[in-house]
Parts: sequence; structure tokens; C-alpha cells
Amino acid sequence: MATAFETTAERYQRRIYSFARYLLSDAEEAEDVTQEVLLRLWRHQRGLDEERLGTWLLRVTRNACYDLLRRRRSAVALATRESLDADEAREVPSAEPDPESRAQTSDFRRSLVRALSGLGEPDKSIVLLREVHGVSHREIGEALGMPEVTVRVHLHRARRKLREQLREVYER
Amino acid sequence: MRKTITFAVLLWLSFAILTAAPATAQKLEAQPGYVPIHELGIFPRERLSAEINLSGPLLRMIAGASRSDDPEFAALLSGLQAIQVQVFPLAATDEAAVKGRIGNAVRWLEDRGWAPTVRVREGGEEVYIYLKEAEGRIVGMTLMSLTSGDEAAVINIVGRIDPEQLSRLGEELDLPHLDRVPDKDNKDNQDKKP
Amino acid sequence: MSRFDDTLRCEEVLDLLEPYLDGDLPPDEAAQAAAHLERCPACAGELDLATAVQRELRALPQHDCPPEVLQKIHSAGAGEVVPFRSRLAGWPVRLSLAAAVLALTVGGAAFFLQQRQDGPSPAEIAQATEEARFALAYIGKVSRKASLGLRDDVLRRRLVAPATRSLAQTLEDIPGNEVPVRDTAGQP
Repeated sequence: MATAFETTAERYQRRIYSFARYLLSDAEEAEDVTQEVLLRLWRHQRGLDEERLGTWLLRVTRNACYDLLRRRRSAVALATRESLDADEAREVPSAEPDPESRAQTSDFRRSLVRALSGLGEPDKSIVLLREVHGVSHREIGEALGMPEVTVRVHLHRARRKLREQLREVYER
Repeated sequence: MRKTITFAVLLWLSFAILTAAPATAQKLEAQPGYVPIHELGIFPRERLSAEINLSGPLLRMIAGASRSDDPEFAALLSGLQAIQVQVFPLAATDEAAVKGRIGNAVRWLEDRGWAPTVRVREGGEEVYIYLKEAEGRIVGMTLMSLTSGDEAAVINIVGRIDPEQLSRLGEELDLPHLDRVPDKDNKDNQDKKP
Repeated sequence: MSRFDDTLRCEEVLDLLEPYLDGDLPPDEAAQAAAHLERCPACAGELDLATAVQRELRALPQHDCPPEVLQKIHSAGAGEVVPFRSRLAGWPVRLSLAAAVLALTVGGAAFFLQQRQDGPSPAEIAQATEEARFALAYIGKVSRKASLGLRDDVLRRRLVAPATRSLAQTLEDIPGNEVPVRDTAGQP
């Protein structure tokens, strides 16, 4: 029978790992961060408030990712690395029926992932959490220590930046 | 002869190790990052909701005990000489008087070369963070905060500080540990004055 | 830019596309935007692009953590030591470990001998640990309440930069180890 810790770890693993993988653009480093975050959860589990657990984990994950990037003294290079582009485009099955449309969608997605990698903080975290991982505005605000309305402002601004960067590839 | 010299060196080393920690502890008041928050009388001590005084030797023991469990926390503590905290509930008190005493403490810090790092006055929230540098290193941090209608606090951290590490650990510990306010009347606290 | 209705111009509508898409606009403003979008093909095209961006973001995969990683964590839950993989492991790390072992040995001896005199009990150390964690937690709470996120520009400039200077000073103390650090700290 699974312990309470195992159940919690199972429940949040995808959110932690996936968020870390997008922030770091590196699957192995995302595994390291997931280990670190879940071990922190294990250490603190007695004192945690179940209701705020999700936002606490997001905050710890984001901190751990940025610590890792900073330690390597190449945060910009890593954050804008394009190695994930191919992965993302390959992993998502395209809904477009004909080969030409599929190719266009794939181009668009690659450009999107590249533009997303180039966003600054907190915009990148907010877009990743809200749009990719479906986290509520309220939870994002709690995790990032900002009011919900500020989260919305950042989200809209970030999507507008993405829109501007993707206009050319969209119109092709 | 060589044996005698070796023995003398070992003896001297043992003596140095055994006397190092108490010697450091005795000098706390002389540390540039130390603030005598009791003497400044910012809050009436008999009405504090939490009071913490942890000195160097005890901090090193905590670091030793936490090293395997939480290495980052242990690393932070092992560089510190003291942690002092006073938390004061503001319900049914003269907030203006408390703000005045915080203002006095701010002037006290600035007169002694503490650098204002963060000063926020917004709505009912006031936050002051001061850092003390000595020989190019950060050796002290003092935080004063006041939330109108809620509580005020002063925190002084003495020793070799990495503010970023401090903030990061603070962020992470926020949720699990803030609801467990140490009991200021607990006897365990009595003999830990720096 | 053309002007299609009396209340909103194209540039205003373009500013509102994202909140419009999320349903965050007040009803009257949303109605004005909708009216404009119906009559302005250029803005409607931008709405299509904004919709595509959001749709594609939402279609990006959420990655599952590989099972072996979780297995290691579960082992930790069972009380086993989890061996962290470290791609940084090398001589510097080994030397640090050796230094840590030495420090622990020396510190442990001092600790043991102090304990023999009048040291605190394990319960007192546990209590003191809680107090130290509380102090750090309080700093975290104050920072967050004052919207002073760790990576907020103000904090980065005023707290992190001095810390970097401090670290550089420490490193410079080691002979032959002068580290150039760009000072980005603003004057307080």
C-alpha cells in the first residue's frame, strides 16, 4: 500500500518534472530537480499544509531550476537552447490531416517553443504554468508571490510577445 | 626530539580546536553585524509573541545535526554567529509608538554604517532590510517589518551571510514552519542569549 | 490603421486581444472589441494568430517523470539513502568532500568535548533547529508579503549583487584567484 508521501509524489511528479524540463530545456537536469524537490517534500512533509502544497512545490521547483542555471553560469545559453524544439515537435501528434498542413504546424510549434524559451521571468514561468500545465491564476500567484491580477497582466503581455514573434511564420 | 616536536604540535592543535568555538562566542557583542535589539527596546519584551536568541556554538550544533538531512540549511547556519528574533503582536497597541521606535532603530543602524537595502512603505506594510559589510563581506542583516493591525518583527542575523541563500531558504521554509511559532515561554529558550 | 467603429481603434483592439481571448474584459469592452473584430479583417487575423498561439501552447506535452526517478524517491520514503546523481562530481567535489569529512571530524571532536561539559540536550538542539527555521521562514514571509520576490529586479540588484561581491572578495583572498565581478549594484 502506498504511503501518504508516495501518493503525494505520484500526484505532483508530472507537474514538477514537466515544469522543470521546460525551464531547463534538459531532461536529465529536470530529473535531478524532481529528485531534489521531492526529497525536500519528504523532509518537510509533516509541517505542510495540504491546501498550499501544490504552490509550495511549484515555488521550490522554480527556485531549484534557477539555482541550477545560475550554478552553471550560463543561464541565458541554457534557457535559449533549442535542443528541445525537435523533441516537442516530434512528441505532439499533429491534428492536421494533410502533410503540408502538418509541416506548417510543426514549423509553427518549433518557432513557438523557441520563442517561449526566450521569454524573460516571470513571463516564462507564468505561460508555462498557465497555458502548458493548466495551473490556475490563483495558484500561480501564490507560487510566484504576486497578486492574481499581476499574473494575468504578465500572461497577456507574454502571449502578445509570442504572437508578435510568430506572426511571420504564421502568415507563411 | 622529533617525537617531542610532533607531540607539541598536536597538543597545540588540540588546544586551538577546543578553544576556538568559545572564543568566537565571547566576541559576539563586538561583531560588526550584531545589533543589541534588547537594548534598543523596540518592543516591550514582556509582550512579545515570539523571541529567539541563538548563538554561535548552538548554531553550529544545529548545523551539525542538520547536515545530512538538510545540507543547504546546515551550510547557511554554519557561517552564522547569532540569530535574534522578536515578534510583537500589534492588536490593541499604539502602532504609532511602535513605528516611532522602529524609526529610531533605523537611525541607530544608519548611524553605524548599516546600508539600507530594501525600504518599503505601502498600505499598512513597512519593511526595512539593512546589510552590514565589513572588509567587503556581508557580516550582518537586520530586517524590521510591520503589518498594520497584525504584528511587527525585528530579526538580526550575525555572521557570514549569503542573502540570496537566506531568502531562498526562507521562501521554502515559509509554509511548513511559520505556523509553528516557537513558544517564547518555553524554558528551553532561557539560556540562549547571545 | 483604419477606424471601423466609434469607440475602439485597431491599436486599442490589438492591445486587448489576449484578455479578450481569456474572457477577462468587462462585458461592455468585450462587446466593443467583438463589434470591431467582426468588421476589421486585419484585427480578426490577429485574433486568429493569438488563438493559434494559445492553442499550440495548450497542445504542448506535459512530460511524465521517468519511473526510475520516482522509484529512487520512494526508496527514500522507505528510509534508504538516495544516491543523487551528480554530473559535477570530479576532483573539486571529492576535495570538498574530503574537506567536509575533515571538518566533521574536527567539529565532531570539539562538539563531543563541549557536550561533555555543559552542552544542550538533543531535545534542546531540536527546539533550537525549529527556532532557526522559524527565523528564516519569517524572512521569507516578509519578502513575499512585500512582493519582494527573490528574483525581483530590486532584490537582485541590491541583495544578490552585494552577495556576489562578498563571494568575489572571499575568492580573491585565495592567492592567484582574482575574480573579476561586474558590479551591478545600484546605490541604495
